[in-house]
Amino acid sequence: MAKEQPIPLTHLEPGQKGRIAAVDPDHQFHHRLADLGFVPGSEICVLRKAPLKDPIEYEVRNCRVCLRRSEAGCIYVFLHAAALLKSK
Amino acid sequence: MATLSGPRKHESEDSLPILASIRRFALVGSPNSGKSTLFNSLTGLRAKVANYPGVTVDRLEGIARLPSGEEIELIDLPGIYSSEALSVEEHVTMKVLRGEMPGCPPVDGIIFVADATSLARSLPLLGSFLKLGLPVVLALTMVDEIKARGGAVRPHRIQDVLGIPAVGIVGNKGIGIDDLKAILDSPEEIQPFRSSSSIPDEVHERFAWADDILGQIYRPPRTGTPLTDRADSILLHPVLGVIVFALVMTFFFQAIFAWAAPLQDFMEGLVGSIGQGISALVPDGLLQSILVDGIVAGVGSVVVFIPQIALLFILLTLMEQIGYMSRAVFLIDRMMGWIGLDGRSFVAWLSSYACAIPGIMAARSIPDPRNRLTTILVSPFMTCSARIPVYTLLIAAFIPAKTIFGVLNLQGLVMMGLYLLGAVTALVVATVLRKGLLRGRTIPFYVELPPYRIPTGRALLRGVWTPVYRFIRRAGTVILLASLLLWVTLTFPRMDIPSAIAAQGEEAVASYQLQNSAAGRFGRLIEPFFEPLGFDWKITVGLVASLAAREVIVATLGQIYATEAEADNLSGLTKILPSQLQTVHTGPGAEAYSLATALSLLIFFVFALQCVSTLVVMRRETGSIRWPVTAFLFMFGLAYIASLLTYRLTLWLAL
Repeated sequence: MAKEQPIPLTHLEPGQKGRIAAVDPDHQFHHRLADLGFVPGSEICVLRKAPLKDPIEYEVRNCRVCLRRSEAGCIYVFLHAAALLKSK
Repeated sequence: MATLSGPRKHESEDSLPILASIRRFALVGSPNSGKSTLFNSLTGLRAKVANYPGVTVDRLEGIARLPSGEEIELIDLPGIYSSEALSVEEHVTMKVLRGEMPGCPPVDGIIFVADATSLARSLPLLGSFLKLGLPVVLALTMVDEIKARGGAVRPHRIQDVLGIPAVGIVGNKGIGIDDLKAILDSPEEIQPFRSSSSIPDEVHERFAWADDILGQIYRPPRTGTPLTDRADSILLHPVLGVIVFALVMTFFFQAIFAWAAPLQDFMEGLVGSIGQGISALVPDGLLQSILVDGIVAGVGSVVVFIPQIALLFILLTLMEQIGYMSRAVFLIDRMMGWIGLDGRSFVAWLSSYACAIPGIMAARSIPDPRNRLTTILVSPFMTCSARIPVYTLLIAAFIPAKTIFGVLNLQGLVMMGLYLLGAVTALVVATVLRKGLLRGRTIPFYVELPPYRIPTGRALLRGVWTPVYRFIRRAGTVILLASLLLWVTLTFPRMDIPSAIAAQGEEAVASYQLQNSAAGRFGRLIEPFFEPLGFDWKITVGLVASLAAREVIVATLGQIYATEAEADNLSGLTKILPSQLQTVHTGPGAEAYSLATALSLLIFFVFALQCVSTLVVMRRETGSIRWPVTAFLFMFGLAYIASLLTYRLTLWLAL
């Protein structure tokens, strides 16, 4: 199986799931993101986007948190294969 | 541990008197963990709100009684996502726990409140608090919900693994409260946590530590609750959600328009009756005047608004506690982003439509200082309750009661237009602020969407009572003082009435007295400054008077134009104003001048910061006199220019 590359969270569409690979440490916010549950290893699911496409609602560690695209972009995830197959 | 050197009562600024020998426990947990419900269950009615020194954060403390009869003090610390504090509130929580908050004695232990359904996120947070070395008791809330959602956790297993007492709670049913009290009662349970070294310092490692523990004792619930999922599929739907949001907002503003006036009228009637009652009991003269025109009028101008403000806050509190408010924040956030703010500012501004005082205080929920300041500075542009009597009077007197296209009420449209003008101005000024004076990167936005929950009656009551009380206390004291001052300046100095004036009758005498009172003289002094706006000295006096509270101008106009007894009531005043509002220009075109003055006055009230109470609260919330002064001067300048333009434009169009 080819090694999966983590992709930015913003590339996921509502309904897709993944596992967090890394959070960009250069982002000033990454401490708070960690405390909110966005840490490597956490399962994450994209629930929905706001009517104007931003912010986006995520489910992580049984909590529903909304982030703007600019913050979500520094979270990298491994997209779950099942979700990949399903969306095809 | 607190030293037991005997009972010692002390008071610090704005705090509650406490006894040093009473044990103190802090409730700590993330927002939405059920902490406040637990606090209410434990303390019942024995809780008070105060302030921490130097910061605008509410200090919630209360007394709980344990089975043994011992009373303990509980302190409900602000919700926190991390021991590395980001917002002012989180800093307060950490300061109190570390014993570094002046006026706040150290706590004897922590009651860590965690929502069982999201333990996967709160367990690492618990870990960081265990490292403080204080005794910790774990209160797991929503244990009924986790079971209903197919998850499982057993508090006594956590106890085994972590080494701290743990109890399961169902907050709104009071289950587990007694168990918690029993634990707090047993000294052997409340021991300092000693295994800090086993808990990692670094956040990612702490999550791994937590996952390890969770693997042993926890089965996560299914995601979401059926109610929340179904509701959000509509309420957060790109089309339906927006429609619902628009409907909710319409309902909110409809409540203001439709119910504000009748509620105010009712209260005015009450206050009027009291005034009349006193007039009947107390003989005519200075005493009667100070009682009726000073005190009753002053207190009246505050009390009149209470029902309406309470109503609006019932709506807002309901939305907040059910969980809808965070959804509104989510929906509106992008548009707020165009201004440079985020969705939370919108929620704070909604409160300002009742009264800017709780509205400005609502800005405490905004973590970023620049966003918060911007939100506070433009709050007075939102059309508050006090502007309504002014608008209503002038619109009723000067705008014909016509219907446009058979459906739209012209008077209603003008009212709505004034509301819109205030709101749009606020948005523009906020944008300019965030691009100029208050520009810069801010704390990134995030909002948690908790599951929808039915709030407890007690929580609702507290949510409504707090802003109403703040209005009464802050506005009440300032307005009462200002009203008394106003009464003095309008009543004194007492003049000897020349016989020529006396011969003209009661109204002429009253007018003469007013003209030569301190306020009247002042009004005539600054009249030239306001003349370009179409305001004569009488209106100018009214403007100065309404600095105490905007609606005072209605009463002041009533006093000034008291040509007949009829003018004492509003409908009489409405009839009189078109001919009396300005008396400089008579003959043909006089109507146009009156209309121009009326519109100019309306616009002035849209933009001017005519409220000393707001200035006082602004100073308190921003920590500096600089901001209220700046806001006042800026809004005054804006009002002046806008009024001037309105006056000139109206005259140009009408003549």
